[in-house]
Amino acid sequence: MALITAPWALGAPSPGKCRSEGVPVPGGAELVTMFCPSDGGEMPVFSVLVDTLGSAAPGARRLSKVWVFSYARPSLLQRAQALFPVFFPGPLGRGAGTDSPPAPVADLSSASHQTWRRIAAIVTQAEVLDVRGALIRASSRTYLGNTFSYKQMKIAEALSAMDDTGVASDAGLEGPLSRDEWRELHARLALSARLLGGLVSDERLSSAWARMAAQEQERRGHNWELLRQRVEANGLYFEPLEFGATNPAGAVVWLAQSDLETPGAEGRFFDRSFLGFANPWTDPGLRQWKGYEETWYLDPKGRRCAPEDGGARAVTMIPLAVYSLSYPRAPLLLVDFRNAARTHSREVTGRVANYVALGVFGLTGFASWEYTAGHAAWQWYRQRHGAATDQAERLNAYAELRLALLMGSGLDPELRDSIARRVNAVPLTPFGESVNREVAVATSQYQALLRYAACPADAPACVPSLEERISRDRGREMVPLVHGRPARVLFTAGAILTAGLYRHREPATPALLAELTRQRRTRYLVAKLEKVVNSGPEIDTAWDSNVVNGYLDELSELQVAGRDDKKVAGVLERVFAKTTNEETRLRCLNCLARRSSPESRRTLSRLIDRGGMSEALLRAAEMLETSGASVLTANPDSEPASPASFGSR
Amino acid sequence: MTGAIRGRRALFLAIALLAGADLLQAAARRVVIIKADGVPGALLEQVREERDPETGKSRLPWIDEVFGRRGARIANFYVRGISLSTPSWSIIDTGLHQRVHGNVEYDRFTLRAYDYLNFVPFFFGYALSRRVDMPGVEVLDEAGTPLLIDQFPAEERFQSFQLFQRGNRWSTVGGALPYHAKLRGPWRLLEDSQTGFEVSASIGERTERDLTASLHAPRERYFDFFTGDYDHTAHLNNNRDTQIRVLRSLDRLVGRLWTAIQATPQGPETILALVSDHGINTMPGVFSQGFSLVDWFGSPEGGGHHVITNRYPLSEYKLHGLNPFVSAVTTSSASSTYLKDDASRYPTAALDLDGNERAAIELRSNDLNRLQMLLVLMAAEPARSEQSRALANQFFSILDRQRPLWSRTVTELGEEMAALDREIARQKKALKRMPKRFSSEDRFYGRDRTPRRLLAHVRGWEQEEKLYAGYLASMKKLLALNADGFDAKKVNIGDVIPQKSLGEANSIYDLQNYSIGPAPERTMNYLAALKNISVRNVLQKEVGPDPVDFIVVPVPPATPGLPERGPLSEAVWLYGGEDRQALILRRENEIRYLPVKNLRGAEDGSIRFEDAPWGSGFPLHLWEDPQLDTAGQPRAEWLEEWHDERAWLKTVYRTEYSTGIIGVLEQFREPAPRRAMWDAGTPEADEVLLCRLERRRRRLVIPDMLVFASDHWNFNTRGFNPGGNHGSFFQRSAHATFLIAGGAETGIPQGLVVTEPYDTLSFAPTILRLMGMAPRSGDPPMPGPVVQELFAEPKLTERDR
Repeated sequence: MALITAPWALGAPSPGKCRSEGVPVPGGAELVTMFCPSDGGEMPVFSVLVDTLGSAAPGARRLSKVWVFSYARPSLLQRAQALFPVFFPGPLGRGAGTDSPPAPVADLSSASHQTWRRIAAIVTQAEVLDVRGALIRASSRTYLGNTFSYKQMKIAEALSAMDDTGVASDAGLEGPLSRDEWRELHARLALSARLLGGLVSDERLSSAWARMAAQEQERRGHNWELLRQRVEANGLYFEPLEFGATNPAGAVVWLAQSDLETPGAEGRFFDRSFLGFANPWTDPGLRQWKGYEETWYLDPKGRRCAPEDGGARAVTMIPLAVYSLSYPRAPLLLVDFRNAARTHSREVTGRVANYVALGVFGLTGFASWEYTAGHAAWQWYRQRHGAATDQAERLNAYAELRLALLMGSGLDPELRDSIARRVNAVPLTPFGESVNREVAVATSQYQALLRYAACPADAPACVPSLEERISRDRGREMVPLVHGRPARVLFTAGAILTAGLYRHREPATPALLAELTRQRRTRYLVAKLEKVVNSGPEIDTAWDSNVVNGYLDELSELQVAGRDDKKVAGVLERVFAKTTNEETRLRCLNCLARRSSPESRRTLSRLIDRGGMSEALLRAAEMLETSGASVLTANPDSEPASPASFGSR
Repeated sequence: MTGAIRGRRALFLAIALLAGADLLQAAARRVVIIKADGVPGALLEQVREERDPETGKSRLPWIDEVFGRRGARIANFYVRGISLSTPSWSIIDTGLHQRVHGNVEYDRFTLRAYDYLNFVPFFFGYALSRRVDMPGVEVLDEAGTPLLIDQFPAEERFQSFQLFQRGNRWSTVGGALPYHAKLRGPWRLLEDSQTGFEVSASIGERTERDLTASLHAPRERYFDFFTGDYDHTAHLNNNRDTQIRVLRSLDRLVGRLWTAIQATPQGPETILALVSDHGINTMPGVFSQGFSLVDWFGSPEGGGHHVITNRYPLSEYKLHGLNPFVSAVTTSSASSTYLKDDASRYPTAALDLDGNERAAIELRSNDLNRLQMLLVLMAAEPARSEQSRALANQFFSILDRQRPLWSRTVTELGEEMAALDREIARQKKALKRMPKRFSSEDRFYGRDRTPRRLLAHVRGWEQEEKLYAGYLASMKKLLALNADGFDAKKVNIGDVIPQKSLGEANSIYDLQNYSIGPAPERTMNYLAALKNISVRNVLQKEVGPDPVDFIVVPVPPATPGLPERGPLSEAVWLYGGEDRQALILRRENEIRYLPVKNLRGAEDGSIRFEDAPWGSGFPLHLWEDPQLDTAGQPRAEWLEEWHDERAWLKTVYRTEYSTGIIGVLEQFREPAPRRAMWDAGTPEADEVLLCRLERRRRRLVIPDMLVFASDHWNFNTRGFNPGGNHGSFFQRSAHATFLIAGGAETGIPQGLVVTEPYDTLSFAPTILRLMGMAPRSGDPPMPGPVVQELFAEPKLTERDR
């Protein structure tokens, strides 16, 4: 029995926070890793590769591959198990560590590519495998589902670690990644669970993150309150588990053993709705409880207090259940300390039902719309009655708890082990590791990744090296800098026809790399200016002109014309239209003139034709139009086109 | 004519000319009002002052620019009554004392629910031509209370969707989704399918577009735009960043509307105002905790009541909760001692829990309970037994004690129903004379709604007649019983005890001795029982174990035992424990707070109490509040005296319970009814009866008790509001927003911060004064003081002082 003397007023256990750290990677990149506290040390949770192109400029950075270190390659036996809906959880035939780096769970630089691959997999399943008979249909569907679930569960762990630090929030401290980058990373990973999530544009990621963050906060608040009220109404005790985050993500429900001994306890009111476990008042097993228990101090009114408080009495507390507060609509029962079968059967039943309906009988999609509609209606009905029908969200909830257990979360070690044992027994995925072994796996894989990252490009032991992979990714990114649309369509067709074996890449020359840097920075600045113009009906009220002018000056310096020219000209035209600041307007004109592309010239002419400029500005605009950018470049201080000199008049 | 009279006339003329000049001085011709439900004044100001490191400007740049630099901010703008949307908007939207006291009200006699928030039945009723206005407007119309919008002819106004909505704008509703889709385009909609659709924003987007288009119409002068986004978010989410995101969205709306206004020729003479009805008690990191009074009243500890609420409580949310037409739901109690399985006929408690930091509670008349219990007991006893005779004696002693009051009610209500019946006939005739066909222009400006509006009221009256007739029939049968030859076995309880009715209001004695069970009769003291509710899971240091802070009970001003009973116009009793009680008294415009203890009601309706010395812990916590500003006068001395409202407002607005002392009286104020909005040649005698009926209607919805929640507690039961709540007098809940700016010709000062406290009663008169308008002829005068600081040369009238 653990003696818990901390009074309630000290609040829920407050575990240490996760932290992030960046290490440089050969080839002009950085590996940013999130570490979370675990067993007195630290556990690497995930890393994201940031391709900086060797530049310190913020716009040159690009988030790329993400590795979650507990995401390990499955053994053969695990793969075999994954063909069936029922399996034995835990490791099968594979050691705790692995010497090779893990496979990335996502590549943020080509999010849409992953969406198309997933769609291709679904089409292949429906058109090729589903028609090959029940055995192939059922096993292939199950395998596909299990691999996807496993990956999502690991991604959920990474998201949970990010939530823990609050790096993406407004108040989050910037570390190796900027706040916008954390948000991009968070949103991209969260969207990867959705079929078309990879198609969401970069511009929408910040708002998508805000929306998801708000939803998560609301879920936790709602479930915290729902569970607290149910626990109170049933005469039990509620202990929120913060898991290091601002809002509690989980909770333990306790029973005071002394309450079982009060007269009439057996006839005491119990409403199991939303709690999900059996009536504790009539459970004889609790009267001879042999499991984990704690000692709390309660005041005469039965409230938790400090031992030194007047009237405090020591009471033995029995844990009944652990819940996730992140699950939609109602708290999710994750651990029932008295009946492990309850959570076990929930996972197995749904999977077997799907296996039989979809796999064996082939009741899939529109072909069996009656079944699909009926199934959807039944699921909706069950959900309204509090059933946890969303498997993806259940996996997320378990992932969150697993990370919390790894981090300790201020729980008594004995209680932590007791919960971990029960969580390990829940058959969530055939690929999983037990909670306790995950630290070893993660550490080992992180070391492997570091070794791999440090591996020279020509070393035969690591072909292709990370540096080579980064270079390949850049090669693909550089294709639009060299080739026009028709050629790119041909390259894409080639990639599809060869099932991805052929993907065109440009060799990285210094000139192309410089061009790529400029293009990335241009996009970054265009995104910033888009934010400026979308902030309201005019920009001078909402933005300090020095900030906007700074963006425009940077853009002007880049002088790159290319694929994004239309976008750049468009945003400059809108900035021009939404400001009355002469300096800002002149900078817009200057940018357009210096880009010297047909689109920019057209936009410049259009702005001049539209009128509404001051005489001085108009004169400057006409000079820019006729003289072109070279005049400015050659003599930036000359009258009247220099923004600085214009502003000073 | 004497010199004195001539002098008085000359003075009067001069005052009139000055007043006229004051009106003429204001040149605002149009007003655009952004009604932002629940936006707290303090938070808005705090965020406005914060710098956004990314933009280098305020985090609310448009509010900062428009209202901070180019306009005026009324920094201490408070809710007049309780911080609850329907009553508070009713004050803002009328400029008059509140007639609506909750988000839902139940008529004690008929349990008819006035459900002010539910817009779904209104939209369906409107589509079927059965309703024209939202329920709140219907109630105000019955009482002859005009809205601010009524000061403008139909063709001069643009009203958005809101609680006090006249008519409907189908073009906006119908065009919302297509416009939403058009704004986004197909790719954005595909993205939305992954990140979450924003369909709920569609009505706001379309309304804004229609409003912006209407700004160019030369005739229109009144525009409003209602948004409930902040209130909705803050109820669910205590995260400051998330709440600020909503405020920033409001800020962009201000920017768009301001820019659109300036782009019209009338820009210089247009006012833009931002007003909220209340704040919200939200704190980052603290969850607001709910306590279910429905469960408590249904439990043995709460008396085993069958409880009526306006929505299904959480336990029934599964499927029933989807029904959007529901306005009264009965939750039966398994603990009822004498009404088991009779919940549908005899609900005994009606609760309005909305807003959540307070609950309005109506309990069935204690004497009806006792009569019904006695009838049940007598039916089980052998006829003419000793026990039966004793029970009958008890029965008739109660009935005879109540007979004068109940008989008078039956008689008067009967007269009122007869008058209503005649009025229905007259209005039906008037309806026949009204035009049936309308041009498209008439329809556009809503002139076709006048006969439909009247028809809707006539239908409502017919329904009301039926309901009251049922109550009257039962009461007449009950009053017809007498002791001679009484045989309880021949009495059908369902005939003599009115069904679906709570009967007359309970006195303090009733609430302290409320019968909950027969044989032996069990009673409970609801004041003490509610105050003593406590929970065992105390999880947040900011939230205590006791959900109930204090309880307010209205006291009729003529109650024997009240101090200074003669001139009193209102009195309420605040219960914070046996030795922590207060009487708040009003005589004309003066208010007094009297600390008392051990107040007891007697069966004859009188009260007795002991004076209590001032100390900490009394309701509203005035004594110990460091923010109580008595202007240097010793607080003991100041608190012992009567003070007018303005003095109280200035003294208490910064305290923890802000303007609670004024608000609690406003909550039980009974403004005199005026004749309804329409006239069909009603004879004077019927008009008197109809006014009396209207007064009765409003009296019948006054709760027996108002229960106020402790800090960070709430009484919500249909869902959860962990983010925050309102409804109380807490500073965070009661501090609202009033910002105003105008074009060059409106005369609104720039960069002005008004630090004098004002309440919501000041909003409408200030807007009218700025527009050089006064209430229409025949409309009641607006009692609130205008915000004098907004006028270049303040001229305080006697009333304003």
